[in-house]
Parts: sequence; structure tokens; C-alpha cells
Amino acid sequence: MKEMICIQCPVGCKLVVVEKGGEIHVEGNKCKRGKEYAINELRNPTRILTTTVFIEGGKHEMLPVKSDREIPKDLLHDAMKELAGVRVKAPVRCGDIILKNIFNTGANIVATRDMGEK
Amino acid sequence: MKVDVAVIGGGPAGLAAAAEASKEASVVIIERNEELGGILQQCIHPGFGNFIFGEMLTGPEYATRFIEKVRERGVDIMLETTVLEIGGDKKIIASGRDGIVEIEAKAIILATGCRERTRQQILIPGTRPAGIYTAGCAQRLINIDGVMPGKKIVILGSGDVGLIMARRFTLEGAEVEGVYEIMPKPGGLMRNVVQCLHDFDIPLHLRHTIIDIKGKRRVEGVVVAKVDENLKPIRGTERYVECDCVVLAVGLIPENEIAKKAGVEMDEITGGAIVDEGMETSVDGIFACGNAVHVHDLVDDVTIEAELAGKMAAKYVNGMEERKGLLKVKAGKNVRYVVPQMLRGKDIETIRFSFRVRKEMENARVVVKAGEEIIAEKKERIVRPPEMVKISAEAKKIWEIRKEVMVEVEEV
Repeated sequence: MKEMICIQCPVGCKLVVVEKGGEIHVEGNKCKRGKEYAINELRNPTRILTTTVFIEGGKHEMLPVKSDREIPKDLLHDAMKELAGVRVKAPVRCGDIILKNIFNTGANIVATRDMGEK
Repeated sequence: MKVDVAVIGGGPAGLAAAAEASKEASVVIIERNEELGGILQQCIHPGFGNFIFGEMLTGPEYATRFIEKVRERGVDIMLETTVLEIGGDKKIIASGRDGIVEIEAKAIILATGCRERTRQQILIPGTRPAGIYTAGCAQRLINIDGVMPGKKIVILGSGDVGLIMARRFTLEGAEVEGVYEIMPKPGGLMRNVVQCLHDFDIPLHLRHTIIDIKGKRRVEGVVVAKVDENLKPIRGTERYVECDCVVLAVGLIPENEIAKKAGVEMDEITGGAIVDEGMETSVDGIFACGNAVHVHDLVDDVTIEAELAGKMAAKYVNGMEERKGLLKVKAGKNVRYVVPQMLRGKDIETIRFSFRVRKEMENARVVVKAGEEIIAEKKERIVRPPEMVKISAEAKKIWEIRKEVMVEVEEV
């Protein structure tokens, strides 16, 4: 049994999710989006990762980046470790790929702003 | 320098206002920082622009779109220039790279944003060691300067900034001992409670606050305690928590030093300027928008408000502004404040009222009344104080009735 709060809309239904014999039962949802949310959160929770990487010769020390699609939630910490070792050089344009296909998820890590040289 | 519209502040409000005003007028943005974008540049998390762009952008991406827009439209940009005061005849005196500059504007838009409340404003007793930061300051250190403010963190305040920082610290390898919130409910959006705290098993302690900070040179720990209904700490519930960093996410206050000096009338509840339906303040030709007027939770709402300010400021300088009179807008039952606070009968068909409720209500009925007559209403499944509510009403109806306008919310 797992408890979670649905975040599909501002109501924030408190869901109770029970898995029995391979089937997922959801209680507490006021609409069907709640059920879909709960099943997805249980089977394959994914998130957009946003963080920063070091940039050399840039206006600032850090360049903000994100995964251009959601990656499995379990990989967030490993992805952070991987990105801690990444160093890029200015200039960078918003949308430039910083790291391709991280952990074979199909997601690229891309810059989220332009950063000119110092 | 002479210009039609001078925009003070180059954050999201200033950018949107400038982009819109530049369609019909010459515009300059005066920004004290070394770059445009304001606080968005350090808000690297996603969740911006869902309404306007239909996408979940990060803060810097959202800023980039508007920076490109003002550049394309030929808006003049003055960076590292701090406005000192607005004199008579809308003459702006600023301190810039090459000393004092004067800008003569026909209209001014105040887009000065807000600042964070600090330890001084919530009176936490204790010593004054290193390691105490406001959340926005910690966010800048991590996301722009690449500096970690601490290893073991206690966060006070569960507004969106506090929640976002709990996740950010955790991802960067620090331990967030907990988020403490004096109120019985979280202050931020539910989405952030789930994705910033639950995702990382960070405890949220509601009805708790920090009552003491310990440490000589560096923070060594804090004493937390439960609070009663009057938000006073309960004796016997004190607990010592070891930490080397305290992060305060305890609210934002509109920044209005320049506005006050210029004689702009303030709203005591919002802490921002009193504005009409076209975002014009009590002073002729001075407009205001964004967090300088009232603190927003969504940047898209800032953009919508700022575009209106920009459009109306351009109309003002082109002598196209209409006025029909002056009506007050009041916050009625269960409503803490309403923006705009007054109506002048400008050339705007639909007036958008933005407001905050006093308490959480399910199945709420929102009404706009002119005198005793209901001129607009809508139902909301849930309204919460942390989430701004909007309702539109037809200006025509209001001016037919010509009575004080009131926004009310009732549970049905």
C-alpha cells in the first residue's frame, strides 16, 4: 500500500494505492486523472532534472541545464554525479546539448540559457 | 536622455511591460544588475510558462524568450544602473557605469519586484553566526556562483522558494534535516510539496518554528518548537537540531522605495502600489506591475499584468487614455486583498481582478459585485491562500452601475 497526493490539479486528492495480483487499485481520487497519475507514479515515476554544470570563461561560474525529457526518478542522483564532472566552455547558447543521451534514457542534457564569455 | 516610457527593473515584469510598450512608444529598461532576467536567472527549476507558452520552461528559458523579444523590438537597455529617485516631471535620476544619469520619461513603469524577508523581520533570537541565508541568496550562491552554503540544512518556511531549495540542496548532496512551517498548512503549491519534499523523503514539520539559533563563528544548531493556535511556541516541545546552515524562506515584500519617494500611494496589505485597471498608480503617468504591486506565485500572471501596464503606458504617452471617473474596489468576505484597488474607467473591456483568499475553501463561489448587483461569478473547486485567484468582469456593466466594486468568496 502506498499513499500519495495527486498533483494533476490544485485539489490535491490524497490517494491510497494498493497493488494486488498485478493489478493496481486506487482510492481517494475524485477524477480519472488521479488514477492515471497513481499508476504512473507506481510503475514508472519520471522527472525532469534541472541542475547546473561548471562553465569555463563564462559570465557566471555555473551554467543552468535540464534534461530535455523526463528521466526515471531513480536515476536523478546518478545523473547529478555524472554532471558534477562535466565542464563546458563559454560561449554557450540556450538549447545546446551538453551531454547526449544520459544513461541511455534518450534524454539529452541541454543548456537553459545563453552564456557569453566573461 | 529622453524617452517615452522608462521601465524600472529588467525582471519578468519589466521585460514584458517593455516589450508591449515598445509596439507604440520608445522604451528604455533601467536594470541595476549586470544582466536582464531578474530572479528568473537563478530559478533553474521547471514549471514556468505553462499558461502562456503551454510548456514547462525553466526560469532562465522563460527569461531568454522575453530578452530576445525586447532586443528584437529595439528597446534601449541600461544595465548596472540603479534608479535613485523619480523627480517631478518624471525625471529619473540613476547611478550608472559612468556616474549619474538623468532620464526624462513621459511615463514610468515600476517593475522593481520584491525582496526577501530576513531574520530581522521574524525576530529569531540567538547568536549571529555565519551560515544563515535567505532562500533566494542560497539559491543564487548554488545556481549562479557555484558555492554550497552548507552541508546540513534546516529550512524555515514552506513557501515555494523554501520547497524548491530543499530539493536543490538535496540534489547537490547536502542533507536537509527538515522544513519547518509555522502555519498548519504548507505555504507553497502542492506540486512542489510532492516533487520537492516527498520525492526525497524530506520531512515537513507543520506548526513548528525556530526559536533559537546556536553557534559562535558558524551555525551549530537550532532549537525548534511546536506552536499553538496563536503561533506562540509551546513550552516543553523544544528540540535541538544540529545543522551548519539555516535557510529562511519566510516571505517576500514588494520593493517600493523609489515609488514611495515619488509619492505613489501604497496598499497596506499587499505592500505594493495601489493601481487602477490599467496598472496606473495614484501618480499620473506612473504605472506599476509584477511583484512590486503584489507578490505573485506564477510568472505568467506577472507577464499578463505587465503587458497590460506596458500597453496602457504607451496609450498614456500617445494621449489615447480615457477616464470615466473613480470607483473603489474592495476586498469582501473571505478575501484578503484585490488588485486593482481602484477603477478609473479606462478603455479596457474586461477587467481582471486578482486576489487572495483568507482561508482554504472547497467548492467556492467567487462573485464580483457593483453595489448590490452581481456582475460576474464563477465556481472554484478549491481556493487556497497560497494560490492567487482571478476573475474577470465586464467594465461596461460596472460603469452602468457606477458603484463601489467588491470581490467576495463563499463556500457553497
